[in-house]
Amino acid sequence: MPYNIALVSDFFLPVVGGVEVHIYSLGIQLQKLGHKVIVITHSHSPERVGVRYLAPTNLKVYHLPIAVLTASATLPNYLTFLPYLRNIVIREQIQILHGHATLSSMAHEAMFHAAFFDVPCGATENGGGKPRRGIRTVFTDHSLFELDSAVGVLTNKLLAGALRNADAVICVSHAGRENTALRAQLDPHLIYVIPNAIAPQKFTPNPAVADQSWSMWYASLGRACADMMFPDVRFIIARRLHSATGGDGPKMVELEQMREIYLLQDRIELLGSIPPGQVKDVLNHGQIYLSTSLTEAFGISIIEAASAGLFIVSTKVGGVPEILPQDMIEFARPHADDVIAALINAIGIIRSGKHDPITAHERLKDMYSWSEVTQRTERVYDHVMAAEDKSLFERMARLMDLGPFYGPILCIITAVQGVFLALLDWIQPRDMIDIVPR
Amino acid sequence: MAWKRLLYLAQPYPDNYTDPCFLSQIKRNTTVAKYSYWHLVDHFSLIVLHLATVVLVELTFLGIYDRGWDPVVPMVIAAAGVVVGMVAWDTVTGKKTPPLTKNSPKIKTDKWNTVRSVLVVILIVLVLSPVLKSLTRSTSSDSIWALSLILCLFNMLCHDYAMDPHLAAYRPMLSTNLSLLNALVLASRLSSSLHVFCFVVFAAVVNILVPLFDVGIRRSNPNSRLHHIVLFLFYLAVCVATNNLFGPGLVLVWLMTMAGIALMLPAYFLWVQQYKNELQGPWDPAKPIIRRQDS
Repeated sequence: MPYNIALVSDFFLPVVGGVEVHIYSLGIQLQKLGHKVIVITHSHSPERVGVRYLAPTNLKVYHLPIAVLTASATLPNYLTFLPYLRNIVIREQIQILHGHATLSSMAHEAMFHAAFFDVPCGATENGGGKPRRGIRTVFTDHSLFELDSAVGVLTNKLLAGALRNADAVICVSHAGRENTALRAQLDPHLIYVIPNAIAPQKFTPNPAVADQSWSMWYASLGRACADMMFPDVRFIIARRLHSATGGDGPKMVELEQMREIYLLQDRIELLGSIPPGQVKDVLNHGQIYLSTSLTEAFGISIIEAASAGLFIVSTKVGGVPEILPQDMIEFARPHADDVIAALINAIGIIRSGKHDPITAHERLKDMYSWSEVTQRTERVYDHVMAAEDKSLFERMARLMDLGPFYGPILCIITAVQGVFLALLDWIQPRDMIDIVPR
Repeated sequence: MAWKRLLYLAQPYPDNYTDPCFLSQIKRNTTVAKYSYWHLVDHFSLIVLHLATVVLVELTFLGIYDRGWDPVVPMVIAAAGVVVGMVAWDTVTGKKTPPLTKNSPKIKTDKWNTVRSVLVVILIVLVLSPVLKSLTRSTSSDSIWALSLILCLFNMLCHDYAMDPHLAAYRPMLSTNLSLLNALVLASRLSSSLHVFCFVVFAAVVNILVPLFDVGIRRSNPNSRLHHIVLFLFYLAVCVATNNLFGPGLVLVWLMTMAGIALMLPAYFLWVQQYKNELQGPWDPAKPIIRRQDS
């Protein structure tokens, strides 16, 4: 049975990133399965404001005028989102609110506001006296957070409040599932593991252009450890290796300095940030992909590189041990010497010809695909739609369990939201809002 | 088919399947240090020492300002203490004294240089004494007492107690400035330039040199008895001064407070350790081990 689904997140195109692409791909695939999907995000003025439709399936995107705090995330405030959400939910007859990303306050707010809405259920042609039922909430958590850092303590508290009444939570890896269960104090049975996916046709291998001088490609993302990225400069010199790094981040300057000190400008290329369309071409030049991230929920860049036929050397962190079979990846502890040992092994595997890029790509194609991710997500939707409604009293009682201070605070916030909503309903009654035809 | 903790396999289990191995990689309290009571007492007694130096300056000021103490006596005692301290410093630390602060320049151990810089500082204080005396004439005394209290409280909060002077650089910058400021605002209430001079020199020795001296001897020789002797001397000095100014009642209060800080607080600290519940797991950022390249 098709559902009306709203994907809610601060993070969406035109910004390009793991979460953004995930939402877009999921939306497209859900539409292909016959669901009605809209995306709710904040505006990127002046280009992206109001309602936009994205190719290829006319994915409808609402860009709401909500102020951005930092790094595309909006300020958590529990109220300003409500007028917009009320309108959209009623207009679009939304049945499932699906929030994305821990640091997205819009997604958090949507989890709270869902308590106040209900939509007709069952066959809509029944006419008057239609049974109505509450909106279901699903939340996808894409990242890992520490439990004991200051940032972790704050965001985990916010997350625990938002997810207290969520009907289901989706994590991208088993490590992420454990992490979220602890952070949000959730029953693990509510948490589903559905990995991320890539579009394999966009990351095809091309052995013809691979640089035969054992060139490598390093990930240079924000969380990567710069000191380990050039594992050992002497190692690069001795083995006549060439390497290139892609991406931009706070560690870029450090890398440039290191390259200068050891006069390796001819061996090490720093490519900076690479447009998404060109990632494949850059990857195809390499044979080994080294990821020195210190934390990684899933490691989508690793999957992309593996799909492009590169052999992977990665630090064993977060969800990375779960994503690839042993013969496609070489693990290292986050130790400079260990990374070098793993690289030597990897070079041995490449030289002996045991790693075939084409086979690797074929195998990976079957492992991660958006259609499978979408089917699994759809099953989660089926689960939550079959669940019982939670009354407002039950929701508040559950919020009270969060602690002697935080619980009452959240209950007060919920009550204020209710009053605000009553005011909005008085100004513009719900039956005056037009419903978008299917 | 047994469930595997892998994402790339299509497994015949629901996506919310919870295996018995769920959270099996979790580690509890792995980074929590085990403390011994007497080790903690040693650390907490550093608070006693710092409190004693701060309180001693306040008491000495009260004696000079209100009870007509001869200001020369505390200064002479302090000067004698400095001479004894320099001898003790040389015997305890030997010639190879590591620099105290991270950025402190290499101090020449040439005795003549030391004496010369001491003389320069003393002369500066002497020249500035008349200025200091009239510094806060337009301010009421109550404001000065309040300011002094605030400065002392901040001083205690901001002081670098240097529990392990070997591990971390000693950064006494803020507390030194606060205690010097405290000494200057108090000195500005005194009646003559001689009073001001004597008091500032005394305060500088007690509040600036003593902490440096103490950290120095603890760094060069952690097991040195000298640290405990210094601690005991200042503890005793506060007792004597309090007894002289207020009688034995407040001495008892001082003794009890300090015993509480040095003996009760470590016990409380150990007791609350049982509530420590740190969870570590695969989601924590890895701690990289980097071999620095020697070029």
